[in-house]
Amino acid sequence: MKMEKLRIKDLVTIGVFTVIYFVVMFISGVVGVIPILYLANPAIVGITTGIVMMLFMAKIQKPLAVSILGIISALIVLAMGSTYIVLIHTIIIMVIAELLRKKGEYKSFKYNMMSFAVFNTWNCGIILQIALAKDRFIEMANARNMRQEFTTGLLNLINYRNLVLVYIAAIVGAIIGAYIGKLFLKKHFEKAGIV
Amino acid sequence: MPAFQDNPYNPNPITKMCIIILLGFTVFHQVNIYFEWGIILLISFLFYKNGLKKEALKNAAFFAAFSCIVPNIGIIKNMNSFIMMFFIVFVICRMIYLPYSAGKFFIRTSDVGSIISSMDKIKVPQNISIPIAVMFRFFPSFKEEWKNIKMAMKIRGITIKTPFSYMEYVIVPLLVVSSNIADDIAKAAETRCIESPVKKTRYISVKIKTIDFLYVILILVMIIGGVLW
Repeated sequence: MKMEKLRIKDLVTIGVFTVIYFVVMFISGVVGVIPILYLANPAIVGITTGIVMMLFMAKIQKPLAVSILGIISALIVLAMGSTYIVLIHTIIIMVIAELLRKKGEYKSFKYNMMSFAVFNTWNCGIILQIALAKDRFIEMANARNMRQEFTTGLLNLINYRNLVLVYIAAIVGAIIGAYIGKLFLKKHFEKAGIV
Repeated sequence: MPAFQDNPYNPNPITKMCIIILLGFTVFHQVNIYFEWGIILLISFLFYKNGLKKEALKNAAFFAAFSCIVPNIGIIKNMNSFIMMFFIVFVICRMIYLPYSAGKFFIRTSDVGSIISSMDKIKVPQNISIPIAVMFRFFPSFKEEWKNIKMAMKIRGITIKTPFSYMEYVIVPLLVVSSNIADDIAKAAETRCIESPVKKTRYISVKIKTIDFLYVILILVMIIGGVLW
C-alpha cells in the first residue's frame, strides 16, 4: 500500500492541534503543583487529551503526523526550561507510537488507541529527568543535617519502581481517554462532518 | 513590541536554544555555587541590556531566594510531613532553575519572525517548521475563541460545578471551530504559494553577532569551570 505524504493542509492541522493539545495538557497539569499528584499527572493528561488526540488521528491518517506533534510539544517544554532528557525520551517514544500506528494502517481504532497510549508516556520524561538527577537531589536536601528518615522517605517517592507505576498509569489513563474520545467522535464530530 | 533584532546584545534564537540544552548539564552535575551565580548574573545582564529591567531583577532575586532556602531546609525537619512535601517543590525548583531562566530569556526576547527565519537557516525540515509557524499564527485566535465560548456558556448558565459536562461543552465547540480555522489557514497559505520549492526570502534575517560567540563561550567556561572546581 502506497502511503501518502503530508500536505500543507495536514501540516497546518498539526500546528493547530499542537496548540490545543498543549493548552489542554497545561490546564490539567495544574494539579501537579501538589507534590504527590505530580506523579499522577501523566495519567490525568491522558484522560483529558484523549478527545483531542483521537480527533487528530481520525483527521490525519498519514505517517509522521503524531510524531511531529509530540516532538514539537517536547521542544516547547524544552524552551520553557527543561533538560535535553525530555527531547531524547520523546523521540524514542514517538518512534514506537509511529510504528504501532503504521501497523493499523492509520485507520483501526485498536492500533490508534495503543499508539496514543504509548504517545502519552512522553510527558513522563519530565518526571524521569528528576529521577535521573536523584543524586544531586539528595546532596542538596542533605546539605544541612537533614533528618535521615526524611531523606529516605523522599527517595521512596521518586524511585524507579514508582516511575514504572507512573508509566503504567499514563498508559491506563490514555486508554480511558481514547475510549472517551471514541464516544465523542461518534456523538459529535461525525455528525458535524469534521472527521 | 521592542525591536529586539537590532539590539547588539540579543543573541539569535539558535544560540539561545543551544544554551538551554547546555544548561541541562547543570541539573545532573554539581556546579560550584559561584559559577552558578555567574551564569545567573550573565543572563540578568542580557535581560537588562534588552530593556527588560524588571525581569533582570526578578531573575537574580528568585535565584537568591532559592539558594538561601534550600541549604537551610533542615530547619523545617520538625514540622509534619505534609508541609515538607511542599518544601520538596523548592528543591526541585532550585535544581531546574538555570535551564528555566535561560528558557525564559529565550521566550521573552525572541520574536516570531526571527525564530522562523533561524529555523530556515539551520535547515529544519518543512514538516516541523510549518506547524511551528502556524502555532504562532493560531494562538491569538485560539484565545479569542476560548473567551467567546466561555461567554456563551455563562449566558446559558453552565458553570464549573458540573465538571464533566463543562469539559464537554468547552472542548467540542473548540475543536469544531479550530478545525474550521485550520482549513482557512491552509487555504490562505496555499494561495501565497507556501508549497513552491524555491528558496524563500524572509523579512527578518538572522545574523551571527559577536554576542553569540560570547554567550556560548562564557556559559561553556562557567559550566566546565564549575564542574572541575
